[in-house]
Amino acid sequence: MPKPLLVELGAEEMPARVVEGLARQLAQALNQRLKAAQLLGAEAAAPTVHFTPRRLLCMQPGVLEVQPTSEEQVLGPPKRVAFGPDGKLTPQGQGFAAKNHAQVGDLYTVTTPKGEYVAVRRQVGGGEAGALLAEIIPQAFRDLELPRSMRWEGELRFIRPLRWLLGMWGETCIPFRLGALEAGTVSWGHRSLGSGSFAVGSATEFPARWRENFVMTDPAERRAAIAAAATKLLPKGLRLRVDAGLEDTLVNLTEYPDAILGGYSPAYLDSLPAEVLVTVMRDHQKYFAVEDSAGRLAPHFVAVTNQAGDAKGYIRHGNERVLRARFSDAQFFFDADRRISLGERLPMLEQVTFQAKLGSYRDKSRRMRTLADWLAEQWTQDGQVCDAQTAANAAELAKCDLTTDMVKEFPELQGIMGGHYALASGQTAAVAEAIADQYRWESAPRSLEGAAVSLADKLDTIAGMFAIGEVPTGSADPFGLRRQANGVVRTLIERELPLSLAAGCEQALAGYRRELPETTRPELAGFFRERLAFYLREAGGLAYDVVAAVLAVDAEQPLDALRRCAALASAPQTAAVAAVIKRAGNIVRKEGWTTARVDEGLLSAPAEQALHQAVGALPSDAPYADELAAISQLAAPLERFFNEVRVNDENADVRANRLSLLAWTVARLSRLADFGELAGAAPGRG
Amino acid sequence: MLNFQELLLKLQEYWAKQGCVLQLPFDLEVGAGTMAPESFLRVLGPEPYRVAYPQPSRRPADGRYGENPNRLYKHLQLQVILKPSPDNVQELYLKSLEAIGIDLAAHDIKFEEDNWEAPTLGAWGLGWQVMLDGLEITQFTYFQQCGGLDLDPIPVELTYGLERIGAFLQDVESIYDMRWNEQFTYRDVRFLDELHASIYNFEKADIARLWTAFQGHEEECRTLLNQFRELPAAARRRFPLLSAYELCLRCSHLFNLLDARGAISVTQRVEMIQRVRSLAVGIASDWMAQQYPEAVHA
Repeated sequence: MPKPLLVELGAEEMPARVVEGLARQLAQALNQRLKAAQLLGAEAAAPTVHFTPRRLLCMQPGVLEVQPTSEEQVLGPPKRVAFGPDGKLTPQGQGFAAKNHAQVGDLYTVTTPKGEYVAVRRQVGGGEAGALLAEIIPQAFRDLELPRSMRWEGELRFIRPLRWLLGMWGETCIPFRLGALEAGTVSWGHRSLGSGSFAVGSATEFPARWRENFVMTDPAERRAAIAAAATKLLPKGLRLRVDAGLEDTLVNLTEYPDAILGGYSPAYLDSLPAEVLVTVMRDHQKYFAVEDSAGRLAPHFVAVTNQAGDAKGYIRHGNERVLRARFSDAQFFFDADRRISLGERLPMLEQVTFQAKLGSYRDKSRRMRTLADWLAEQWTQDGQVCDAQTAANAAELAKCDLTTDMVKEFPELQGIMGGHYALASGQTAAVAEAIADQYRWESAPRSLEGAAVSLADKLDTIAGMFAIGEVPTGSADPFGLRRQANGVVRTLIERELPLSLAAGCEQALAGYRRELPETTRPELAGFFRERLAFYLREAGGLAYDVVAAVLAVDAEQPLDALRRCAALASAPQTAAVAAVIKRAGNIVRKEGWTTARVDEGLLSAPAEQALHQAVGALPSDAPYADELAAISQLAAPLERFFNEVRVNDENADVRANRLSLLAWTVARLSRLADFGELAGAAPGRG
Repeated sequence: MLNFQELLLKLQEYWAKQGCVLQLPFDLEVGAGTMAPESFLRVLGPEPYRVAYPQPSRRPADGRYGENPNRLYKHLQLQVILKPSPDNVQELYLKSLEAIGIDLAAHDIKFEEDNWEAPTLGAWGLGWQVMLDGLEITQFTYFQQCGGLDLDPIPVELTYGLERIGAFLQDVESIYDMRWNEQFTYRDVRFLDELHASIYNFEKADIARLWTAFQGHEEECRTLLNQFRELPAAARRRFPLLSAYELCLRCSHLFNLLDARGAISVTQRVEMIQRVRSLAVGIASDWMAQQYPEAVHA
């Protein structure tokens, strides 16, 4: 009868960020190995995967008692090798028979393309689960791809020392071995709440027996327990500030989570920026911040414990004490940092390396200033003003907070601290906001000047890295250039800013004043084109072919590309015209025709005259949707042209003029998109 | 409630019972207890060893003129090395907390991932920072490499932050308010030490002389290592590699002083770490060649 297999790897505390991945890998490896060994019935359910910092648990239901049996043919040596001229077995033949536990009478001859061979039938399968599982589990263990691993005794490697193993198939112990450990039927409870080890009678006692010993093996249960504990603690009107990453960490840092509510002096709410308070609580202490219903911080925190309750109040007291010290440190940094203005910090940036080959952050800040100034100029038009002075000042000061103690302590507050310190240095609110917004990944900068600073930073970094050959390839993008380029594209589109990417890159490259390899510009163009296509598909939700058709014409202006995409995606009737445009394009391409100058006097056939007139009448400055509507009306005159006119006229001039007419038509109709890239465009018949 | 010296005594007593040699602090400036030869050199080689010793750690850049309640130029660590690491090492560690009066059932203890790396020593290991009610009290590390050499057997290193634990046990907000014994506070014993060292490290230390001293010690160390490497195997046994290691430690401290004086640029810093590291790594492999010539040849 099929029975569940339960495997537990017990370890010293594994890193919170890796347990889930490892547990899933283990379950998958086990499942695959069991299938390969034919020990899983087709109807066996998926495995249950549980994990805590101290254990990976996998229960695979439906593991068969015995492998199904079958017969297979084993091919031996050629017949003339196995049998001597006397018809008796040679030593080689005897060896083959012995190896397969066969008598001479069991051997028979098989004819293959290579000649006659001896063969024997062999029974396969029939292995019993008890014996096979003890081999299969260690194999599955060796299939694991480990993050940074270690040794602790002998040669076995894992992410932290393994301390116990449990292997049970139904009620049977599977004594598999890893290193010096042998699996038994005993597990261990929570370090301080459990009472040491406990015996397990059957795989089906999972997970109830663990729960009795104060281990919530199921991460979902721990997540719910954390939420319930926090809800119970919080005073009315207050809530946890949502932090999914922190929650995941705490779920995998505990076996039996509970929480305590702590407080801190409300004076810190006024004397330190909220971002600092939250970062100290989250990054240093793994505490949830608490806020009111309007999202304002309240002077409380929630700490998740791996302990039941806090009857004596020691845990709350201790955590509050640590947080006081942390906040007092942060206050010290904040006060000390504000004694030196951002401007006074500019010379200190000479000491901070941006990139070994690209100089210091002081060099970068000079380049950013020039670039932001240029961008502001580009964006001051049509009644819109991007203040060049603000953008340039903010760009130059943007990296100064790298020299502050607060940012050295909390690198993730880069930019945000710069904003606070800019205000303290007497800079304008606009400059401060532009500095604060430079690293916003979740949305574009709030002001045009902020967009100029953010783009100056990113374009400068990308251009510099490409200039020294640090181009992202495949999964390797050590400087996060793709993410930065995504930020450039998104800012241009979401803030509706016109900018040619090529011009922007050129301006950024110019800041470096260095000889460039010939490959730099084409690599940059290709890189940005890919990022733009990625944005249009992922954030814009546009179809692959629409994006390809639009970018084939021009990939320089992200905002314009988005508008063309949107018009094309919502244009009702493009399939018919796309097909004929593609046909026309194929003819032009096949002839290698480059002239698009049409001699009207040579247009004799009514169909070619009609086409010329229709194309000439296309609106030239209409909105994209109107232009597309007009283009889709051209399917008829184009089709008529193909039906009634022979391009290959015997008169060479007429032929040339007709090719020019087609070339002109294709060019004129391809200003928005290359219709040949559209999935609906039927293969051309030209 | 334990005063500071009782805390140290209790921990030493506990680890002595676990078979540790109770050593005295190493008498040169080190930036971390791991740099003392009782850790750095003892973890090399195959023979079992257990040792515990308090070690003042000097970090010039962390000095605060005795004004910051939580930061010190010179703090005291209890350093425990267990080679090989025993199976029940976590349990032994938790019992040491009980030995200093911490009721494990009434507190929240977590072992949080913390991987340790000392670039100047060519050493790294995996382990945890042990958190007691949100306070980091111990670094717990399974050494994997030291001096660039793979370790076998694997030793475990426990580093207790004594001031933090002491202030926690006595429930004081400032380290300086801790009772050292019944009569004196931590401030009485150590304040001037912090103040003078901060003034010297940040304001007075002569940068040019520090550079000269660094180069002098480095050269002496290199000379020794070159001499050692030219010796025939039979003549190596008495060669003073321990003294070469002391010279390397002096370089490391001088580097920290120069750093605190703001005399090292970013690019120089990388280069200087590399220079100290090459001494440390060289000494580790020479030490193996001297102490375990058979193992090295095998």
